[in-house]
Amino acid sequence: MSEPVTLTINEKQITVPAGTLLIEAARQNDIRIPSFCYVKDLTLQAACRMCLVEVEKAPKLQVACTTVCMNGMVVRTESKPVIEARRAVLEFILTNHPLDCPVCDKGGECELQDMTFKYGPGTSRFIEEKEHQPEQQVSPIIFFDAPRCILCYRCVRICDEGMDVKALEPIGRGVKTIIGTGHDTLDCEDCGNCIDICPVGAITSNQYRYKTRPWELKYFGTVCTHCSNGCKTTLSVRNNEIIRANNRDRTGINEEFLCVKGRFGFDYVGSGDRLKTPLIRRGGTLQPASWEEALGYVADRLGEIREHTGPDSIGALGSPRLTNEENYLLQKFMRQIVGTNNLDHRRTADYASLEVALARNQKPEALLNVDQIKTAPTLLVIGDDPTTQQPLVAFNIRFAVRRHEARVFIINSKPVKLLRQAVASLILKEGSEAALVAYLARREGSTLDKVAAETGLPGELIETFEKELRASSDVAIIFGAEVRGPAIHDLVDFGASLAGITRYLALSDFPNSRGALDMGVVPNLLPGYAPLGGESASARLEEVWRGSIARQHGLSEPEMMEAISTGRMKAMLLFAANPLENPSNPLDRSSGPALGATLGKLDLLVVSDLFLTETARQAHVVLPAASFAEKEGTMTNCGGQVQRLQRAVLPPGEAKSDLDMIVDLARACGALNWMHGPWSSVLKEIALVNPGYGEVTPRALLQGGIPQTTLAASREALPDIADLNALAESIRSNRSRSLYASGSLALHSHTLVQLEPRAAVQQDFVERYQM
Amino acid sequence: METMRFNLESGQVESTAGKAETMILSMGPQHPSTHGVLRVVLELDGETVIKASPDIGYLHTGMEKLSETKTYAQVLPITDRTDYLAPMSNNLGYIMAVEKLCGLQNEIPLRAQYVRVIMVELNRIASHLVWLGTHAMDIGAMTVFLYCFREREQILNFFEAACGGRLTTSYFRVGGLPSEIPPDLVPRIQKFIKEFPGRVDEYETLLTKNPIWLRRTQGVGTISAQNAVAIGLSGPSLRATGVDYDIRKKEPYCGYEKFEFRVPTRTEGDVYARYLCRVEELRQSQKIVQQALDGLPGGPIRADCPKYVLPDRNKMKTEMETLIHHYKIITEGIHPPVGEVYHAIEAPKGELGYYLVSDGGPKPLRMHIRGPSFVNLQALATMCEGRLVADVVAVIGSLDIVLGEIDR
Amino acid sequence: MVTIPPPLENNSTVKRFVEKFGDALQEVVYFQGETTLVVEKGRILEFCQFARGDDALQFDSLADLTGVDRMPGEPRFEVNYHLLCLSRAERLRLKVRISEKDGKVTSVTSVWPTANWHEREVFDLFGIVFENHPNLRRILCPDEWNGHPLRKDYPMLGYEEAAPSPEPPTKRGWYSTLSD
Repeated sequence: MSEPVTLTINEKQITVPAGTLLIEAARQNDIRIPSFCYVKDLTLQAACRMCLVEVEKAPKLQVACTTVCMNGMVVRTESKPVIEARRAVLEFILTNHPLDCPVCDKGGECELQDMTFKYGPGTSRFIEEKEHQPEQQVSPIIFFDAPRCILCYRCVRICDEGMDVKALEPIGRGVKTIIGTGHDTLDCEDCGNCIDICPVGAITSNQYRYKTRPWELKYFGTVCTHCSNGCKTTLSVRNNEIIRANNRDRTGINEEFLCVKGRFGFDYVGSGDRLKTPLIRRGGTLQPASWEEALGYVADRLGEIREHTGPDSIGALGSPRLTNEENYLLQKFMRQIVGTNNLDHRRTADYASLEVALARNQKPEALLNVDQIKTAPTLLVIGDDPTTQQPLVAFNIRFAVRRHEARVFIINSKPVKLLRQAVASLILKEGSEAALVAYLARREGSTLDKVAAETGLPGELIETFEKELRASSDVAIIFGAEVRGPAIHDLVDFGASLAGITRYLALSDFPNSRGALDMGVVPNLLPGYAPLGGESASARLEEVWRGSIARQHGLSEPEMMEAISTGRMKAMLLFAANPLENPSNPLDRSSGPALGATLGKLDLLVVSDLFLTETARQAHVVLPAASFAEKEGTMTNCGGQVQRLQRAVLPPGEAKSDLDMIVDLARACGALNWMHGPWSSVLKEIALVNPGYGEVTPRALLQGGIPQTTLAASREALPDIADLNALAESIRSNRSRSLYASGSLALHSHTLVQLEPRAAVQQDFVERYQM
Repeated sequence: METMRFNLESGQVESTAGKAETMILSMGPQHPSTHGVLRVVLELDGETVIKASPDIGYLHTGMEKLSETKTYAQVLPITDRTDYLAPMSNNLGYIMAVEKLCGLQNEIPLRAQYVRVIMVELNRIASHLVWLGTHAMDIGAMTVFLYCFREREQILNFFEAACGGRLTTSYFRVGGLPSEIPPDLVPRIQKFIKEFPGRVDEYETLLTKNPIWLRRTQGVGTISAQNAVAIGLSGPSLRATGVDYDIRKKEPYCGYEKFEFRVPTRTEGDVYARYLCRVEELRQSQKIVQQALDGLPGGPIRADCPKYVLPDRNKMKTEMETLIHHYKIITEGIHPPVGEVYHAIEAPKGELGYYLVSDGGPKPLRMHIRGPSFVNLQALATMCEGRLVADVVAVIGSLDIVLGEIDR
Repeated sequence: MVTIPPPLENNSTVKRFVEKFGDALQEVVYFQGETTLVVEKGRILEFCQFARGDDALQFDSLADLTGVDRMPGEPRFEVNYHLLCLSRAERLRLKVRISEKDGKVTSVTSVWPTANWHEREVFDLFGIVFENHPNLRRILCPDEWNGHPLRKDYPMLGYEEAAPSPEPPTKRGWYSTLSD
């Protein structure tokens, strides 16, 4: 580490670490140096010349974005030559800029407008004709207007370095340069980052086109709820309608990044198909009813069934789409009020085994969060396909490679786009990841020959790969659902044998998969990964809940389905769960069991959802739920970072949040003072029973923080590993879904449906760039 | 007999044991003679006023708080509603304060200054006409009211021709005028202004030597010059006590130094003196308008400062920088330098001051209106105590207050 | 010694104050032709008495007295006194800075009676207490009003009254707890 450097800017002495750029040093000290082409995490361009400043002893003005701070430098950013230079640069940029402000979508949030107003000339000296080119639609969601472009090359860099797609390239030279798209339409992943990073209105969104102006909008920061990365997205709302979503203010763990789902996939919230009133099946058809009627009916039937066939004939499916508070209340309702542990949800990753393995190996610091990927020196990615399933993770991996020369190792059953960043990779037979991991951990009975046969890879290749990997230290292991159950224990053993501190991140789908497991919406775990039947954990719960809880083991989702067909299970409560999801739907290539007939055997099927899904059509009672933009609560991303949802619009009709629904249902069942207060009170209770949520307080969240959960499983009271292994078998990965798929949410999002055929283009990438 | 009663000074209810029996009369807030929602709590001994304590706040609408949430251009319509009888003065005071804040005082083109003076002086005439009509009506002379409003109607028609509004004009803009005045407006005002002195003679004939008027106004509501200055009186009320201070003469603004006019003063300091001062001001305003109309120059109507003043529309349609500036000035607002100013003008009712604090952003950090009526009303207590209750009406009328300015 | 900005170097009014008060005069500001003297809060009454009484100054009129809330800057409040000398047609602004914890300053009604209502208004809208004021009550807001509207943390739309608490539900359902 070199010594820090001291320099003077505008008569103020400041000290910065060696190697800091002048423009960064100034911004960190509240001195504003304007720039167009400088973006903090992308390569330097120095094309726009806006950041010219006066540096003593230099004959000409210097560009601050490429000047490195040196000891004793004296810089002036507001002297007369600098002010004139800025005016001149803006004058040049404006020479061919079209008079589009009244019709340009960017007006009001345009950097060129702001800079011209602050630093530019007041009148024009340009009397010639401007060159015109018509605006082109280069993709279903992007319009490109060449005359407005100021050639800052931000879009080129974000598409090239940031996204590794390279759909935009400069064509031509000098003042005649145009940003070209190669073909008639953009060959890209539709992330839309170019729209926000463009300082002017050259690249605009078709979804937001001509709709409104930025000052008419109210902005609400919330979390995207499509994948498990938990990107922050700011919803722009006007008159109770969400007009667009972006992250222009660069806050949150994703800074300026958002993928196509986060940016364009919110329009299901305003879809006309949303459920607006509760429905009860009367005379064979679902008919509207009031909340009182519906909940009263459910409560009465639950009471009857419970009395007749016992509490274990009732089951519930929570969801990784619900907030932590809602999942928590659901399992509290089932365990305390109904008296059963028949709880499960759609699991896409095995967090339970990971927690238990780490607790057993005494590695509490070994959980990696999504932010920390950026600074990890070595990354091992096993399975899954981050580019299409967890785009922020992929973005951060590329960041680590680009900025910190991280070394990436990939183990996958199919070629993935991340191979382009990999130092070494193994493409093995599908399903053999567990065997490979067992070998790497040197489990008894696992030999090189055996694993070579199982994976279909030559033994030397595996050996070279392992050697390369072991030569690195501080490995961050990121793995998908292919590694589950016993394989996770092997993985942790393997990681313990690597140099430095090894950290783990399990990738999942759905926004709150981690949270659902943290809250214990599984038949054999209590909140905090405590074993069911463990004395201390159960006693603690009973103390906090002021009531007794069910102690007998419950059934997992497949077991519940089995129990329904044999007649043991009589009632099911489904919250944001859709087991009958259509496997032939092109947006959903998951393979759920064909359960239609089975569910028909239930005496009571209650479904709470946003839309009339396949499962809801068979229900006896359907309850309209509020979407992520209409409720408050917290979600935990795959890296254990907890973020807050903010209510941006009112729910349609009489829809309620699941939190309100469960509390009202409990009240209808007779539990009057069961739960008071909004999501923050529930969160406070969660912290009492789940030690991992100790830092997650409402205050920290309301102040805009992103608190981190910690390892909750305790070495003293580990759940039964065999149990967890059995549970892990029913994990269903969503890896085969395309980038645009997101279950029923994407089905009802007009934009995502329109874009879905472009998934074939991405497949092209992988083939095109196959290593 | 012991009773409980409200003590004006302390605002508490207390026992009257041991005190001489007086009556508390609450005059207002709904009262035809208080010229707005003013409540005056009078302590009366028979018909004599022992104490008079104005109670204000019934028209408080939070204009100053509201201004903190609006851009400088959006605050302008709010200022119309303070002194609603003389909106042009309010507008001028505010706009000149903003221009001072931005450093544009010397850039305002001459034509804009002349038109501003014409509008503000017509506005002074209109305000004094309301004062005269209502003051006379309170004291019992009903005819004057109709005569005054006949003239005022014509002036309001001129305002409407210039800017579209009779009561809420929002006429001036930072840097000049929003648009050219209609070409036929000048001859119309000329015609009116030629006939006007004759009209003032009519009002004077009815009142100035009228014995009833003299009995009701002479020696009533007297205040000395020293007390007037101490209590903060300004405008014609101050000049009626002998202090010769008119901001148009002493701290000229907006081109007033180019016009010849006299500032009427008297020494008695009673209601009659204030009446005479204002009537003479009607005549002097007429002279100013006449001079301004005669000497009205051509030229631009807005200053040429692209960062603060809206540019010419035709240029905006063909030049890029101009379009951007127009867009930003309207949608975001101007960014005056950080600092504060206090600008005072001579409104019809007295010294109207605008105190603006800027933090460099498009919205004012603080906008305070120093309303002359707010300060003048403090003098009510001195003027009324010891007089009869009927004189209270005369005094309130002579102070020429408007509640919008007092309460904001 | 306070620094005097160049345009005011030969200004006799400023010089008079500097001579008499020295360090109690904290800052001299010149902006768009206006002079502001920032003075030490505890000595404001002396300053005002001097401004009025001194033969060379004779600021016999107080044109305006206002408060400003500079939150989140420190000290939070400012009170500005706009003085006017009728004979010389000269204006001057005196400014004191008041922290939120302290929140009070001496009244100048003994120097200029017109300050009475101005100070009442500043008290009403900002909550700054003026010591020795003859009648410090609210003037624009009703007497029983809570809060000081012109403070920056007072919401633009005011506070709503709390909604009445809902009726407790009548007992219904099959679940009974030990502690209900």
